[in-house]
This record gives sequence, structure tokens and C-alpha cells, in this order.
Amino acid sequence: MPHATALLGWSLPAIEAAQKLGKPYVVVSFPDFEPYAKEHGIPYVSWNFSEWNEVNNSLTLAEKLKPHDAQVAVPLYEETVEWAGALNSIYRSDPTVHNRSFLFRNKAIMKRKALLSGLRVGLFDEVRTKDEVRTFMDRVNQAQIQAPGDGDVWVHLKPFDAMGTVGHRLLRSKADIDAKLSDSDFPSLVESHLSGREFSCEAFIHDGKIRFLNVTEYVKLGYSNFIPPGPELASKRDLIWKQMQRLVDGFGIRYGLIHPEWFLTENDELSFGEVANRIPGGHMFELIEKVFGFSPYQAHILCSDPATTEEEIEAFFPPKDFVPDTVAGCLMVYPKPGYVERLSIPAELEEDPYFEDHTLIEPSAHKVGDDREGYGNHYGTVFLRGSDPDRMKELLVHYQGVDFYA
Amino acid sequence: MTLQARTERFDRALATLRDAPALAVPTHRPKVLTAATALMRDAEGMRALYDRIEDVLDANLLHDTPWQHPERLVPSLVGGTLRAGGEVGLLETISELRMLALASGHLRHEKVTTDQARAFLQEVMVLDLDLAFPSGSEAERDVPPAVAERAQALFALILEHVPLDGVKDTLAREVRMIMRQRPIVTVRARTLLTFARDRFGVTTDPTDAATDAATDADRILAEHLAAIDGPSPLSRRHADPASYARALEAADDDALRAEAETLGASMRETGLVAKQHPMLLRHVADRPELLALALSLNEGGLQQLRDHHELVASLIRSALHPDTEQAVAGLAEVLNGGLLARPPVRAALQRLPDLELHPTVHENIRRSVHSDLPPGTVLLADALSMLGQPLGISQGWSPTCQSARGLALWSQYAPGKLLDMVITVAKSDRLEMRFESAVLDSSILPAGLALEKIDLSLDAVSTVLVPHLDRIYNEMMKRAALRADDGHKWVNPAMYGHWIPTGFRSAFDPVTQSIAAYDAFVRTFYAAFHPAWNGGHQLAYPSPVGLFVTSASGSLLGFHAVSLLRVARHVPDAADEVATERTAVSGAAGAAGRAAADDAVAAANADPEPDPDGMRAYFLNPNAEGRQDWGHGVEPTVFGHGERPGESSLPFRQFLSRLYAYHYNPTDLGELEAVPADEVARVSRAARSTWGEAYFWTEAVLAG
Repeated sequence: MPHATALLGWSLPAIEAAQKLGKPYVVVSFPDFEPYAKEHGIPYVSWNFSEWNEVNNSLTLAEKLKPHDAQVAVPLYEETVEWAGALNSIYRSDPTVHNRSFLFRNKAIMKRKALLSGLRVGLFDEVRTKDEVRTFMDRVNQAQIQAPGDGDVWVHLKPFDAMGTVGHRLLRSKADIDAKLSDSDFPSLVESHLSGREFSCEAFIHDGKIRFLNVTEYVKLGYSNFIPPGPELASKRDLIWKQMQRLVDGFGIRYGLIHPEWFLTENDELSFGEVANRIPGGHMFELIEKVFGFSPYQAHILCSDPATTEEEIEAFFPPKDFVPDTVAGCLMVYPKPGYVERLSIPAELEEDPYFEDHTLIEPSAHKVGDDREGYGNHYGTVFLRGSDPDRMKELLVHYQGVDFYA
Repeated sequence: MTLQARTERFDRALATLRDAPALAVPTHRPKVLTAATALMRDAEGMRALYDRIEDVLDANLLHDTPWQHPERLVPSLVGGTLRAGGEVGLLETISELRMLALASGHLRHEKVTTDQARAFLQEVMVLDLDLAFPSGSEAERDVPPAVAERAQALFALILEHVPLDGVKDTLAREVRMIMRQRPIVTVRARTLLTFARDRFGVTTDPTDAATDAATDADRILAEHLAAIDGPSPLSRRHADPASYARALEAADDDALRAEAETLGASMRETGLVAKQHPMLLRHVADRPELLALALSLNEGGLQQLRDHHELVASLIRSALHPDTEQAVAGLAEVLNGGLLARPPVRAALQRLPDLELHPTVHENIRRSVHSDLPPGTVLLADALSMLGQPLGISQGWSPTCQSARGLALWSQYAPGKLLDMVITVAKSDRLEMRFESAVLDSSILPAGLALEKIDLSLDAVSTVLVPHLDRIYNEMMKRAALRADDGHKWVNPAMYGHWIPTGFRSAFDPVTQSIAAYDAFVRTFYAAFHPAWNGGHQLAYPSPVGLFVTSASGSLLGFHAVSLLRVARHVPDAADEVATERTAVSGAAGAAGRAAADDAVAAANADPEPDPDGMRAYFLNPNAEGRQDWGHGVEPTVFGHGERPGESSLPFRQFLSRLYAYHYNPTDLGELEAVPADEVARVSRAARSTWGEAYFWTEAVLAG
């Protein structure tokens, strides 16, 4: 019997994809999910990722996984990345795999490694106090030759290990440092502002080579994006691929998925923002599946496993010259703060040929008593699908300003 | 969006859900629900969804939700969920489409027959007339448009398959059962009757109801409709109270006597009062012999009227108007009950008409009534209703069962004190009560359980008093918290008064957080209240008790306060035609909502059968509706088992099996050991298999 893949973190779409792939798998996640797993016959190992001590460590986890014959670990969420690194170190008898996973979990180490790998990064530093942030801002002001009255340069502050935009603060002036920061924000990374258009990539890597590269165009970070990108970004694909391979080589990534964010300047230079080693947000996997016709969850599992053959990889992904005829995008809808009473979806959105479907469940207006309690999602996502990336972008920009909840 | 586009989107989402493994249902369900929402918008979309109901069920859309088992659903919960909208509203709609498919035979279910499904839907429609048959008026205003559209499309489809005649039968039973309980607030019954008139063309013409084609439902509806629209030929001709008053001016003595007899009898029979009735009373206010007929007084009432005629005449003039018509029934019962013999009651009733209301109280009453009458007049009228029909009180939609229970108790045993409280609060918007050594002032206490929202469905006395009582009750419970026994032990006597005996037993032990010494709990209750073991005496006063309320499947829902009124033997006799009707109703309408067949088996094992000697507990349940289903065959009834109007009843054992606390008099107790172990065991089994599953039980024997 072939060995199993351990999925670290609870994700129903990932479990569904693993099941459909037909290879053995085992899910590792918090005890809360165990009853559901049991009920649905999901192979499960209950584990608390937020605890690390002499009885709760990767060796004991590996021991618990032995009955399932797991030989690959796939991290689904940010908090499981170093657990996966530790397990894979054991499975591959290579301690550097674990160490390498720290590159993804500490943004300061990540930046240094990127710099050493020859990628263009902003000026950055590690800070422990507000004073150090001020000093950093002074230095950047000085380097950018800000004259008195020019104002301060923009600086970003980020926690070392948070996912996406969590804890991210944009500091536009010295006054912001006092206004926006508190002692609990330290220690953290500060970084000069990178100019250019931000976008993300999702690369599946096997044996150190990029096997599939997706480029996602952001309309508004955290709110809307679409795949494949518009003509401008698409025309930079070779450049992006080259920089991506440099990142893969520099970080020494052999297997799995990376999801970096880049900034493209007007003179076609790419600056490295940051990189993650888990499933991207923004429904990107769902969009990739619609456009390219394969399950990114399955790709993630296959590419994470050194035992996957060249033939399997070849057969799984679309050919390198594949040109998709579908553009898929999504708009994430957040209710306005305060009490939400009803959902109003503009009729012209539903009439639009690009409209596909949505997951905006209307809010419950009243509390429902007894054992009938149930709460719908108070926000969800609108999915669009069409053929013209420009039209897609137009729609996403337009509906960004629409209130779906009143 | 075209129907085709909507159905395609739905079919696509449904196919994804259907092809997904069961574990992935939560991933794919939102898209199916939002696509279903788009279909539910109009009649053609709703029909398209109904055509696919089998596929919807196959895709496990209702799996792992409260709607999974159709046989466990309860008609009275449907309306609230539909109105709530959101995911629950969508699932509820799908659940109704399934019920429709069962009712029309498109689907089969081993536990729900076609007839049961049809009865379920008819019951739903009668309970939610405003959603099922929208008229664009009052109550619908606070329903979001999307919810109203959906309900309209749903019920239009249901009405294509479910005969409206059945709705009429359900309507007639509903009206009759509501009015058997003689509620103070009769809005619900009046709404149903108006609907019957407008939608089914039910008329008040007695010749229509007497034709061969008329069904029982026709006769019941006609009788009750006549009671509000015009019980006599003269009142039917003059629907407008002012015009009726003019007609009375021209009437001779014989005609007046006939009017008084007819209107009085109609009120006595139905409990409903016509708007013309107050005009008649005002017209004959100075003629006791006609008043006695118009109020349908008994011997005692007649004597009271003679003794206090002047006061009665002045109450008629100040309190009885077309908009306070229902207070006529209250006044009649005040007289029949001999309340005017009590000097404090007379004094308070003389004072109330001229009372200057506190602005807040004034405003609260004004907002709760649809009338131009001065709030003081409404308060006086409702005070008469409450004194006359103490068991007709309802807590409305607020969690204030304790306050409602208090009002009912005082109105029966301390009407003077009740009126005194009404006057105090009406004047000053504050109420003081003693708790142990402290004086609690409602005006400076934080909000109680009801969170200060005025429940517009209440009578004016409750509107005035409940916010204060609720705050005081809450404060008392706070002060009694953390003691070694249930706080009610101290709070109930302080709140309700010295009628409450000081002995107290709770099944729940707060120290061990478990159900402790339950056998002794049961035994003591028998020895205190069951005539066979307490020496054969009756309760002197109502006794506040705490109940575990259980759902139709027997599981614990929460706690509830009711008053045990009396324990008596009921032997069914020929006069109990209604008893069989109750069975018919719960057998049909309640069927789908009732315990599943497997629950019925459990009930046979676990729940005590009615006492062979027919001993029943009669109690006041201040819920908006006394007819309930607590699972495993425990269904309180409101008539047909010897209940007086407003009483609920259960077989003694069943009542006891849902109790968690009661007061009793320790010096007036029968022999504990005389209660047979077998009796105790039956009750204990029933308790453990229902609410008891939610608790840890300890067998430790505590000193009794």
C-alpha cells in the first residue's frame, strides 16, 4: 500500500480534493474537528498546533502518524508551516527542510534571504520600540533625500509571522508612529514602501523546478482579484517566471507550493514583497481550478511528495503553452460595521453575463429561538466568469463601491 | 434574471453538492442556498424549486439541520423562522416545500402521511395568516420585502395543492380553542374571524349557518363572528356603534330586553364582545334588571349589582367604549366573582378613572393600543378585564412568566393590592417592594429579563406593571444568587406574598450541580399535593412551581414559571365532546410536529401513563398559548379535561415529571413513606429520559 500524505490544518475543500485524488491521506488538526472527521470517516490525528513542549512536538506527532504510514506533510495554514517542515525533515532525513520552513515564518529572515538570493527588496530592519521605528524612518528619509517640508517617507510595519495583511500598519509620518502603534506591536519588521503594482503568484514546485505558475491580478488587495491577469501583467510572464525560479533556488525550495507577493514597477522591475508556504486566500485555488481545470489542492499534495513521478506531474498540469479562454474573478463582500438588516444584490449584477454565482446569504433579521438557532454567513463572495480580463477588472472595480448589505 | 438562468445556476450548484462527498456539504451548501434564494423570489421560481425537491433532499441540503426529520417539526415555529429570513428562513422554505410534496403525494415518508402533511400546512397557514394571505396591512410592515415575496410565492404554491376548506376547519378549531381559554387580549381570535369573513365569506347571518350545506366549521365561525360583528338583528343592521346607540334610543322595552339577552348570551357563549355591546350597557346603565341580562350575570353577580349599582354605572360610563368592548366581559366576571364586596377594590376602582398618569406610563399605553381613547380609560378597562379573568393573562412575547404569574395570583387573591400597585405605578412610574431587610425601588434598578422593550401585544395593566415587576424580580434573584439553594426559595414568597408557603424543594442541587435526591423530591410532592396521599385536601392558594420545558422530542429547552392551581380527579363524561376534538386536532395538526414513532415507543417505556384514577394537575401557564407539546406524549390541554377557562392541565404524574421546584407547607404533609415506590419510579423514569439527560444525577440521600 502506498504511503499517506498528512494534511496539516482543517480544510474541507482540501480533504474533498484529497479524497478524490484517491491516494491515502490523513488529516492533522485541532481536537475540535475530530467528531466531524469521525462522523465522515476522515482519517484523523488530533493535534494542538499552538503547543510545543517535550510531550507535544514533531517527534510525538510523527509517532502518532506512524499507524497511517504518513511520509509527506502538507501545510494548509500559516501556523502549520513549521510543523510540516519538522515532519518533512524526519521523513526525508534532512534537518534543513525544517530550518528552511522558518524562512516563511519570520519576515525578517525571509527578507534577508531574499536579499542574499539577489532579489530586489526594500530597506528593512527589525525593531523593538517606537524609537527604533523613528530612527528607521529618519534613515530612509535621509537616503531618499527628503528636504524639510517634504514630509516623511512611507514605512510599513509587519509582525514577523502573521498571515497576509494581519497586523500590517502603513506609517505615513512620524505622527502615525505614535497614533497607530502600541507596545504589543513589537518586535516586528519595518520596511520602506515599495512602489509599483502589487500582484501574487502561486507556483507548484517539484524537485526544485516550477511545474506550474499562476499569476493573479489584484484589483484591491483583500477584496478582489482575478485569474489570469490582464494583458499588461500577462506580458511580463517570462520576467516573473525568471524571478520566481530565482526565489525557489535562493530559498532552496524542493517540493510544494509557494505564494509570494511582488511589486511591478513602471520600468519593469520586480520587487519582492513576501512569500507564504500555504494555501493562498482570496479564493485563488477556486479560481485556478475554474480557469486551468485542475485541482490546486491535488497539485499541492502531488508536488509536496518527492515520490510523485515526472510522468504524474506531466500528466497532471496543463501544458506550458496552455492559453486559457476563461477569466475568473471574485469580489469579497464585507458588511458595513454595525447592524446588518438585509441583503440587496443589484439586479444588474445578476443580469450581467459575467455573473456566475455568489455565497452572500441574507442576514437573519431576528433572533430565532429554541433549537432552531442558526446563523448564515454575514459576508461572502461574488464570483464572476467571462473571457475579457479588462471587462472583468471594470466590473470588480465598479462593484467594490456597492453596498451589498444595508 | 430569467427563470432559465436561475434554474441553470441552481442545477449547477445542486449538482456540485450532490456529487460531493458528505463531508464537503458545508463547502458547497452556500452556493446552493443563494441560488435557491434567487428561485424563491417569485411564483415560477418557487415552482421550479418545488419540481426539484426530490433532488434537493437527495443532496442532503437539510441533513444535520433542525429540519432533517419532517415528523419532528412543529407548525407553530414555522412563521417565526420564515420571518427571520437568512439561512434559517431559506431552509424553512425548503422544508415547507418538502411538506407540500408529502401532502400532495409526490413524496412519501414512512413517518408522515399525506393527511398529516396537509394538516401541518393548514395549521401553518392559520398560524401565519399575515404571511399566507397578505393584505398589505399592519403586521406585515416589519417583514423585509424579500421575506414577504418568498412567503407569498410559497403559500400561493401550497394553496394550489392544499384545499382551502381544510384551512377553514383549522381556523374554526383555532378560534374555538383560543376562546375556550378566555384570554384578556382577543386580537388573535378577532384577526382569524375577520379573515374567515373576508376570505371564506363566512357571514353572521344565522340562516346561512343553519343550512344543510353548513359544516361544523361554518357554524363555529359564524357564531364567533356574530359575537364580534353583531349578535342580534339590530346590532347587525347597525354595525357602527354610534348608529347602534341611536337605534337603541328608538327601541322599546321589549326590544331592549331582547338585545340585552342576545348580547349577554353571545358573550357568555363565546367570550367575545361586540363593539355595539358597550353602547347597550351605557344605554341601560341605570336599569339594573336590563344590565344583569346584558352582562349575563349569575345570582351572585345580580346581588353585587344591586348592592353597588351606582359604582357599576359609573364604571360603565368611564371604562366601556367601543374600543374597550372586551372589558364588558371583565366587568361581568368582576360582578359574578363578588369582587366589589371588597372595600379596597371599590376604593381603587373609584379612584382609577380620575387618575393622572405619569407621562411615561401615558405614552407606553398610548403606543400599545390602536385607539384614540385616553390611556387612563384603557387602563381602567383592562384592569376590569384582569380582575374578572385572572387566568386570561398572557406574558405575550416577553420572557416575563414570573410577572404574569404574579398578576394572576394577586388578581385572584389580593385584587386590592393589585389595583394599589397599578395606581402607584401609573402615577409615579416606580414600584417599591421589600426583599428581606432591603427596599427595592424599580426606578433605579437595571433592566430585567425583558430588556425594557414594551411588548405591544400585552394588556394595559401588564404594560404598566410588568417592566417594574420584572426589574424587581431580577434584582431579588441577583441578591439570592450564590446561596446554597435555588434563589426562588426566598424570592417567590417575597415577590408574591405570604400566600406562598415557606417549604421549598428543588430537584437541582446548586452545590453539586446535579439532580439530587430526586425520589424524595417526588415523594414530597405527592405527600403535599396528591389528595390520595396528603390527607385529601385541596390547595388553598396557587403555588408557584418551576418547570423544565421540553421540546416535542423530549429534550430540554429551558425553564418556565407556572402556577399550580389545583389537583383534581377528572372523569371523562358525555359533556366532554371537546375532549375528542382535542385528540383529533393533535392527531392531525400536531401529528407531523409530534413525537416520532420511535419517540412514541420511548414514551411507552418512559413516560407515566395518565393516572388510572384520572388525577390531574390544573395550572396557569402564562405563555401566549397554553396548548403545547412537551414530547413523549406530554401535551398540556386547555379544555376537555375539566379545565376552567384559562387553565392548562396534565395528568398528575406527567406534570410532576417536568417539575424542578415547588413550594409546600412542611407542617401539612402526608406520610412520605405511604407514597408507593412504584409511583415514584414511574415519574423518575420519565424525568430521566427527557430533560434529565441534560443533567448529572446523584443518588445521595439528603435530609428531607
